[in-house]
Amino acid sequence: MPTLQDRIIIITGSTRGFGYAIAQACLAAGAVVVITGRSQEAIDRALSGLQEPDRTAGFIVDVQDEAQVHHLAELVIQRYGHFDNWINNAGYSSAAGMILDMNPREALEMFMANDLGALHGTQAAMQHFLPRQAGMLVNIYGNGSFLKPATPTALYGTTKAWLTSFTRSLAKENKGSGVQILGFSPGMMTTFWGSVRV
Amino acid sequence: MMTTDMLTSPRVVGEKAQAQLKNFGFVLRFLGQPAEIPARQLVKMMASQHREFVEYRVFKPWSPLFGLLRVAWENLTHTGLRPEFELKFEEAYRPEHVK
Repeated sequence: MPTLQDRIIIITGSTRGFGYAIAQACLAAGAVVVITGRSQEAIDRALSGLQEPDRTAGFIVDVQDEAQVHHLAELVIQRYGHFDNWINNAGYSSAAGMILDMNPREALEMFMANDLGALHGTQAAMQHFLPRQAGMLVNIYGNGSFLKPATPTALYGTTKAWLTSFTRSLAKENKGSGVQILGFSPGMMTTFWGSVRV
Repeated sequence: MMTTDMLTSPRVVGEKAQAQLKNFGFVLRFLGQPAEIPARQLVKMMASQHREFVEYRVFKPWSPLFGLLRVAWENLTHTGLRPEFELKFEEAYRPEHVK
């Protein structure tokens, strides 16, 4: 098992789904994990499920709100002195539907969470990483990240294509800074509520 | 079983998407995997990666073939999980000012 012993890792949008699975895997590798979600109830449920009260913390953060994201970084630094990894995981797909059938508002809302949220997280993390010449930023890619058609979730795919371009540009702009950047594409994932044996 | 991206609201908008998602359950079975698997891969990357910039894809060109073989094996041995979910269908959006 690879080790992340005592690394402080912030994972946005981690009260369920892939973010929660990352939190579990990081804990198993020895890390200290900071999870975030949009409600105290969701955070409490996730912290309870992780069962590692000494190595976990949870904060309410809406990644669409720049101030909340920077405040998260401050809170983590206050509590632990620093953080080592920041994972921009928060994001969602609002619905499956053809581009011409979708309400434009859904495109805007997904952009706000999937892309603007990642920008906020990136700025908060890099502000901490760059002076230390250390740290790792992770952006979670998705269907559409590599510019293949993402039908029937094209609007979501477009937000992920944006994130890839953003991540590549960020890496170019910060080459030689000592900060590591990882674009990670997890593929199609499932959660096993509501499954029956074949 | 549902894709983690659609946890919030598994909605399907419009007839074309509805038709495309007719076999969604099967697609999920052979292409999808539990979130724990890519999560472990991400941890491995974070622990071992030393390059400044890396892009990593869990989905490989051979993943669909392996997925089909796995589903076939699960069907033969009755060991797989069949997704049970309910997609919510909605009419396609039409702007109010369009007659």
